[in-house]
Amino acid sequence: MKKNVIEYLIDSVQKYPNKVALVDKNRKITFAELDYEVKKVATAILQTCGPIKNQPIIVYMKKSIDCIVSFLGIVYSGNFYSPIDIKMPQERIGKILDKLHPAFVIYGKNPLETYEKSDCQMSFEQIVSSTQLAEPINNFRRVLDTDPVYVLFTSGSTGQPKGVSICHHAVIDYTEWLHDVFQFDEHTVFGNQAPFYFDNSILDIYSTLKNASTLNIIPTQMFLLPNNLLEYLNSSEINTLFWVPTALINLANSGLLSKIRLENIEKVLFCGEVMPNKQLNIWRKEYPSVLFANLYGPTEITDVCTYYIVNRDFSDDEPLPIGKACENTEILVLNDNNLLVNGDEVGELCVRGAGLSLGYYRDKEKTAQAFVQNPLNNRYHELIYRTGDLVKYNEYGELLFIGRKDQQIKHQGYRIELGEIEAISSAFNGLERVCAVYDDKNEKITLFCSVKDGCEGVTQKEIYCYLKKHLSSYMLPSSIFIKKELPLNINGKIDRISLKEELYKRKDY
Amino acid sequence: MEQEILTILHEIAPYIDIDANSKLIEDDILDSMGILVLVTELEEKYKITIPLEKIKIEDFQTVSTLVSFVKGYTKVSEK
Repeated sequence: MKKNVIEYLIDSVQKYPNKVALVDKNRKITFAELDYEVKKVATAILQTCGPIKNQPIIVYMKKSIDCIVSFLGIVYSGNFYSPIDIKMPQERIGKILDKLHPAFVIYGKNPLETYEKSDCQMSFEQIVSSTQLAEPINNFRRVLDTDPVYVLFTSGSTGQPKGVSICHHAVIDYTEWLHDVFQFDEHTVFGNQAPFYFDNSILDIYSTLKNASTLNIIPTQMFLLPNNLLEYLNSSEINTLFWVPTALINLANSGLLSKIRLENIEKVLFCGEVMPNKQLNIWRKEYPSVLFANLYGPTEITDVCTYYIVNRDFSDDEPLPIGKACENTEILVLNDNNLLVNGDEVGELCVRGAGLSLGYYRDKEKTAQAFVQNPLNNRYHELIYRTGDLVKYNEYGELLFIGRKDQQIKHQGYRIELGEIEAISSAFNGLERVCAVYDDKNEKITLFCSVKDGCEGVTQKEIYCYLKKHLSSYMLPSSIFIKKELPLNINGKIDRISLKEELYKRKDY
Repeated sequence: MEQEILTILHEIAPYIDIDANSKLIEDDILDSMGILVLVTELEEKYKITIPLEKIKIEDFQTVSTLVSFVKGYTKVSEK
């Protein structure tokens, strides 16, 4: 039985040393070459930091082959990785560093400004060009399968990003399940869309290693123009997609699916937000024999916990089910009394099983709120993860996503706490109260704010420029409205519902 | 035309300073949605048809590349 994800790499190197493993816009490398570079990274880490084990190491570079080499090198050295978006503002990175206390940083173009220990920071290029392989490294073998592989940071409602920690066992369990259900193999060519700081990429990376597939890292710019993207998919012989629905929707809406045929496409999987049947039907009409699957899951349970393989017709306005639990996972839909729902009663989707995260990094309080004792089990210690997602069962016994219990949104596939936008905005000098609302019809974030007395001169642009320095770009509001005061509901809280209604009445929206 | 295109861009990205030299793609001023909105607006404004399968990313780099891009289409329709 596998206990470390590195064993996937070792197996594939043995079976297919000369097969292309990874492709990006600059180069392609085989499994044997990948293995060689991975060992260099592991060697450099251990030479610089000494025999550290189970320590966090940051990867700070553009999405590329180098990134994956760094991830695997870190795991090979017996440590775990945390990717940081190079476009993230330094202020937000600072918050992550405060939580993570990384032992080492591998960077691409620019070093991490906010990291104090400059002697524990090395560029990828330097590592690969100057490291000599010495003794064989076996440090990863001393790591247990309950130790972390990675920590991914996600939006936190108080303005503090949360580091979701995932162990080897969870990734292996997930990767094995994917193989069993979707039959990935050495002929599979994945077209990667997901950023590496987003956990959809876990499928791409580890399925490629396990199945000796090929992973083509599609250049981000390709996603700007639908015709470029379609032509790229053809020329790089990509046959399997695991994308966020936004990317698939854009292709469907462009009207080009019927004009530029995808020659190789076999499987289209998606996850991260609701996939509307309207656009899925356009895909299905063009590609009736392709397998389409709707996957669902938060980062905290290792990417995916339910799935639905599309097997019947849906009208454009019907919701697409999120299906049933993956193998070795159980879904409990709990009502307000913490009892299993009956019939089509709506409840919170809770998860138990091997995919559960180790919790939020250095954050006991937040961990204890979301990872709780299974209320249906009073016999032994067993944690479940409370997703905050509201669901119900349909007549087929499949799960349907209904909405959120709180103010978390999915915007272009990104998970955002409106509370984080609000927490950051309210720190802007001159603002009194703020409220971020999400218009899911037009997929727009709007910030409403009221200003303090004497600060009437504050402009939307000033607020926007401030937010740009503190929030990742996908969290930025597309409209900012300054009002004299924000409406309150009967509980004295800001009335989100009336603000949302106001949006559609405004001429300047 | 440059001014007109700047006005459209300003509507797409209201809080960003955009001038004739702004790098629209490199500096993430235009995303995939932004490009689609821009193409639709240009089609309406200049009564042209821009086939999506033929557009190139180079045309969207700056306001001046956009001007020549649109001129390419308006000439065709004049003929």
